[in-house]
Amino acid sequence: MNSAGSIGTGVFVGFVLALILFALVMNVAADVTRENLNNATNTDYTLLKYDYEISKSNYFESLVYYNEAKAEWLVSRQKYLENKNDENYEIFIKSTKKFTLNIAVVLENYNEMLKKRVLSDDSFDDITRNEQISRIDTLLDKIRDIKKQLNETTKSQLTIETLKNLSRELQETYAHSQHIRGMIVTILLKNKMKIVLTDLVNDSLKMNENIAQLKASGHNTTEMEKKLCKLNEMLNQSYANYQKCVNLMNLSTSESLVEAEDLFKNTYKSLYLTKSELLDIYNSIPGEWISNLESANSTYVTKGDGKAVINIDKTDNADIKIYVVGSVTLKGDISSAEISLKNLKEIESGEGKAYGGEGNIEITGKDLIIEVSGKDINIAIAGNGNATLTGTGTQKACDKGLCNTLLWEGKNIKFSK
Amino acid sequence: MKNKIDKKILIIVILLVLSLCAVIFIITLTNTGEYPEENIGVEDMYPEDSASYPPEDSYPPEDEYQSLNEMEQALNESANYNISEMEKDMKILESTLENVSQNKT
Repeated sequence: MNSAGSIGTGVFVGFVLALILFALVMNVAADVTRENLNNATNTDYTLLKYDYEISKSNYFESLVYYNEAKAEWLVSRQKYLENKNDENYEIFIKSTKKFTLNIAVVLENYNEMLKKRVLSDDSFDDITRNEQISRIDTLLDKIRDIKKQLNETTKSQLTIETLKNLSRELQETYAHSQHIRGMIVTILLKNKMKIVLTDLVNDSLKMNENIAQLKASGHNTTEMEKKLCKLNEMLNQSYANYQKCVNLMNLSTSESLVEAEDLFKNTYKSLYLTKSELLDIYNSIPGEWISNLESANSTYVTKGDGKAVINIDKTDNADIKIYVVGSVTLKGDISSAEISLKNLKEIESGEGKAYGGEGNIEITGKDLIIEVSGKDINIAIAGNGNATLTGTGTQKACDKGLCNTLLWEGKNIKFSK
Repeated sequence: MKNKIDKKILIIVILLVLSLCAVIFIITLTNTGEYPEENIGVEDMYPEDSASYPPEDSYPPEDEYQSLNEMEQALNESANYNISEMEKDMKILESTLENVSQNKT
């Protein structure tokens, strides 16, 4: 019995140890696989970027030969136009073949470069990438076919009509190349601009929040608000331009793609200006105000028009700073709250205490209900509680360190330190 | 007597296995290859909430926005792809060949 028990225990311990060993091996294997996958992806993109650089240099190199062939062709053309003898005609036909072949080589290298550009850029989604690559490959086949025909045509077979036809076919491939270029360039610019717009919108929201904090603390932010308002108008215009570019891209005609590219260029200039304006607003904040912002440690900041009902928890004291053109009503544990006013005056109230006018109020306390209504409401709170807002504006609520910027309208928005 | 020794060995083995499990658990938690999601610092996810103000990586906007730089690069790069000069050359080629063809016939 004892022996059987020992064997059973041994089997159990062995089983547990085997499980642990298996878990360890799997953990190591998973790490190695993950690391290898990451390395493989990075290496792939590095190689593809290298491929792109090579194809770019091939394209520019072929442009040099193209220009030489063009110069030679122009001379032969001139000579033939001046003296239309057989010798000059033969030289002209020969140089036309060379020039046409060089056009084909440039177009081939150009499309190879575009293809490598698409492959080496991770901002293309799979569908777009495959679509563009497939179009380029079809075009490359056509160009290579023209090249082959030119190379295989003997001197005796080479007629002016053959050259005319091949030249016409090359013109078609050129038009397709231009269209593909338009698509690729605009897709790249669209992807980049989307990131720029997101960055600027985020920073504009952050600035809006800073202004709300400063205004709630009693600082005069009129100039900054004007500048931010102008900046937001510029941002809205840029976003409208971005949407227009996307619509033009969807039309997908050569003209619409050219128009979209130009609009992207102009919008970039406007976005650059917006960034400068944003820096300008930031630089206009006096140093001592920045220290206010540093020490604010706000868990809830809001700026807008309408009504805000804020419940401060019973647990800890909260610091509430408010600027309003309207009224503030306090309910709850008012007796233990510290209240300081700037320009606001106490007004008649059925319940609790109420203050009205245009100005600031700072309250330190807990277990409070604060109702704020009117225009240009700016609230900054360091504490725990929740808020319900009706009206228009923006708000940022942090709960245990996680912050979300939302539109003003919202119910029971929780905030905490 | 033998039964007692077996029980002692069993307890020691169980304790050893438990401590081994604890060590493996600690190694798994501190493994840089797969950092447990619940241990990601909030400040890493939301730089604007870090104690220092302003956070270096997002605000205030730096003199040069990385995304703006990348867009500028894309614009400069798009200028490289411009082959509109070729269009003129091809038109000259076509008209020349047309003229020569007419003269020859």
